[in-house]
Amino acid sequence: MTRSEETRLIARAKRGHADAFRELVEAYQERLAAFVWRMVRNHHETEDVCQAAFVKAYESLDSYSTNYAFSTWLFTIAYRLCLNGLRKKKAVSGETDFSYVGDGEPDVSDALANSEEAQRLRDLIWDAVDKLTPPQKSAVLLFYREGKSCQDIGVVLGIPAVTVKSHLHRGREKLRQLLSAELAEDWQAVRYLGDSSGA
Amino acid sequence: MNCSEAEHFFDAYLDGELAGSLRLEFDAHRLRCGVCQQKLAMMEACEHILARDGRGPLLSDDFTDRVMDEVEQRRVITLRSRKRRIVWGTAVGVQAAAVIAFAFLWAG
Repeated sequence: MTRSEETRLIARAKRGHADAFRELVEAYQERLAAFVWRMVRNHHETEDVCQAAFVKAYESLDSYSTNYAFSTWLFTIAYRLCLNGLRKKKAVSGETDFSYVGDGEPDVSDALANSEEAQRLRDLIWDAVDKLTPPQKSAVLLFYREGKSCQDIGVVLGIPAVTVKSHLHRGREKLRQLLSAELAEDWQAVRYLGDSSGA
Repeated sequence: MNCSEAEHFFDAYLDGELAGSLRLEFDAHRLRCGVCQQKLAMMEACEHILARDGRGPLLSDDFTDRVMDEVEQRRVITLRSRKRRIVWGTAVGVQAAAVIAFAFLWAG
């Protein structure tokens, strides 16, 4: 959906045209669900959070600023709802280890990886992502999956762009550490093979 | 450049922000270091999966309808409360006007 189309739909929705808002819901629900599901890892909660986010977005349409993409605003609402849900679950702060969140349902896109090796790599990566803190995970997902800038991610997370960069950096560093540890065995084998062929 | 120095520039390299002599130094290290090559390949795979493989579960078929039903319900509630406010506001205004008019008449 182009930005002008989006602006037109929002303007119509503000004037009370339900069909315009329906188009927005249909356009963004998949992306929003992918993001929310990664945060809460539960199908029912994903549906609830997405529904609540859209309803809240509709109710607050008058406060929406066209300076940002509708998706940025929608993700902002959804992110806060996710955090509230996670806090209610464990009553913990944003910087606490949320790794338990990853113990939810199995990944629905398991079928995407064909070979055993590809499947393993994929699982390792998503398991590592699940071990990131909510701000790190959100920053990483919004950056890579949604292609959002650090400034836009800052709007979603309610923090300055500089802090987003820091979350991104720490998130990637943590991913590197987790994956390095997991893949160390494989690398040892590769190194051993390399050493023996060089000798 | 050694491995630990190179690792400081991984993010910048992966984001395409490494340029000039620093990029040259980094490339020189990367070409001869198997460990850094593997780490970078791992991060590239990670980025690829994050970007392409992050599909969530499909929402229910009636998801849009449910959202729109709730939106409609909220809209009706808002309209009702707005109407109620208008009715109450008008009633209070009329009452106040009546009290003032009565006060004037009584004083006169």
